[in-house]
Amino acid sequence: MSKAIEVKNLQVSFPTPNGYSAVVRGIDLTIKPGERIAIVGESGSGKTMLGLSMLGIQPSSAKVTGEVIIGDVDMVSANDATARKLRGNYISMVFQEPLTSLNPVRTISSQLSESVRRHNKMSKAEAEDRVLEILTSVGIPAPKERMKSYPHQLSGGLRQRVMIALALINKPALVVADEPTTALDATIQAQILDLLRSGMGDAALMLITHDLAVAADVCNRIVVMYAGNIVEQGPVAEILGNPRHPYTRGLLNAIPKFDKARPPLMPIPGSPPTITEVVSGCRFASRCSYADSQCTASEPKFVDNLACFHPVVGVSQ
Amino acid sequence: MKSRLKAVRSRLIQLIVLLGTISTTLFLLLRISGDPAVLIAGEGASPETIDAIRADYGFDRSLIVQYLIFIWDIIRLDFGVSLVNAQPALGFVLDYLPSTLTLTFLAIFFNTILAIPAGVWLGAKPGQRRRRVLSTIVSVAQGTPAYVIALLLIQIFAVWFTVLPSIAGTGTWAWVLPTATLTFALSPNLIRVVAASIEETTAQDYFRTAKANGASPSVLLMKHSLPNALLSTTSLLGAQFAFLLSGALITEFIFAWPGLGLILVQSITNLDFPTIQATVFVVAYLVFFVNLILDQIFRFADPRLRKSQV
Repeated sequence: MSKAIEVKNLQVSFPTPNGYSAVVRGIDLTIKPGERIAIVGESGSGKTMLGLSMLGIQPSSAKVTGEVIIGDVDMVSANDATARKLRGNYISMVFQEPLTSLNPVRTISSQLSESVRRHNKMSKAEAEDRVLEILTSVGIPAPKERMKSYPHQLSGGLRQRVMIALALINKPALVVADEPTTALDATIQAQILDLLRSGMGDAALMLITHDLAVAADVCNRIVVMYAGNIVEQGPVAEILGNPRHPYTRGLLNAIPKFDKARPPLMPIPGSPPTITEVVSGCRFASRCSYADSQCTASEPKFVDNLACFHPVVGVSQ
Repeated sequence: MKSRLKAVRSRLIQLIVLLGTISTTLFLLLRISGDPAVLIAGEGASPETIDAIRADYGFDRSLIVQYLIFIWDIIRLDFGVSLVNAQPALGFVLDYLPSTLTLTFLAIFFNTILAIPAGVWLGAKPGQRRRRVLSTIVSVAQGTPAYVIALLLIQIFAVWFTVLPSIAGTGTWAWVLPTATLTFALSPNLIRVVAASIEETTAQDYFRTAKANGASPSVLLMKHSLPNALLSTTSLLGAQFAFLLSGALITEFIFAWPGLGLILVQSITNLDFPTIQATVFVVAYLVFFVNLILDQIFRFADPRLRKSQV
């Protein structure tokens, strides 16, 4: 599939005692074929819910509006049978917890070939060949033996490779990877990031992470989310070299640096608004040192890849 | 294979400890519930008779010697002669075993085919209103004692409609009411456990993974929820099996079902200690074998319990 995947005005809300409250607040996003984008933000910024709702597997209490166009289908309005045909086939997902994301009582091979045969007319033997092929390509040693293994017999890193294999097995247009390395130790993390950078075939990648360094390492483009909105986006070099949104700048200042000067870490004061909190104006204003009366009076529109009344100028430290 | 032998061995050690505890408890109970010779001799027996019995049974020897003899008899499976009908107690108990086994298998069978589908239906979408209705009924049923169910069933089917017999051995359909009683007594618990297990699996990460790969609701239920849920249900089924084997006392008594439960109640009433002992030991052995078989089922069904193949 050589069409871009488009997210238009996507909104995800949950019921609260005071009516529905949005955690994803009207996201517009275009992911070109083969592109690798990172969705960056703190916990609670809505990035995981964005990913889940793009596949249509958000919690059942959530209300989703807007569009997610994959090929010719809008995932939001599509009926369940149509959406199921796309899931695991045109769009797939890798989760944060490799240890629990595979069924403990079924072999690796049976879980992977189930997905292959669901979306393709294939014999058992053909499906197993495909499983072997994909396990080899994601760098699993002795893949033939591993096929017969159960998840608990594999290490966390291997299990995450299996999860990536499962996501890639039907050659999807987009893989959403939600914090895929957070649960792994540092050396394994680096290997998995390598795989995400260069082992994805033709699939585009949407990497959800709280770690700007990981985002910069793997992706071409960074999208910064705050409290359900995209506040800034751009190519990696631009975001890292010249962050314009005070929040992006705050995230960058919160990363430890190991050069000679070693400036002190600058945490962003406060925390994001909770789901029930009513905020007028810019949702970052209460934590922002540049905020003035305009910021609390109205919400800045997302124009020119930025949603801020007072973009920061000058080179990042 | 090695790990399997190891598991059997640890079960055997458990059995020995279990039997030792049971026999010691029985021995002590027998001694503190009064002078056993007087009990055996019965009311109004002459002192000579009591002395004769005391010497005959060895009650005149020291407690330690008595205990050792008692244990030795048990090891030889010699539980003595029933005080009521003068038959060897073990043979007498074993005669009643098939009838309890029949009732046990019938009850487990109907319990399983009723409770598992009901539990799955309940657990698949717990929030729905009609499912909440069933859930409430199940809760009420769970709190209803077996004897109430038994008496209700007898009143309805044996007294009002006179379509089913209420006494064992009176016709081909005598098994229906006791089986129904046990099924109604056991299934609410099983339904709830199955429903809870199903609900729990739907919250698991692997369930979400399957969903993210386009599995349909029926595939999700049958392949990603049910097998995992049944795994945790099996142990309850095993416990219910053991409960039934130990004689569903009240049910067997109400329906005069000639099983272990009935003879246990009768032998306690008659203070027929040899028969009590024999019954308790037969049940202990049966429960041991049920657990042994359960172990093997778990090993077969849950790869995490098999020896690592890496």
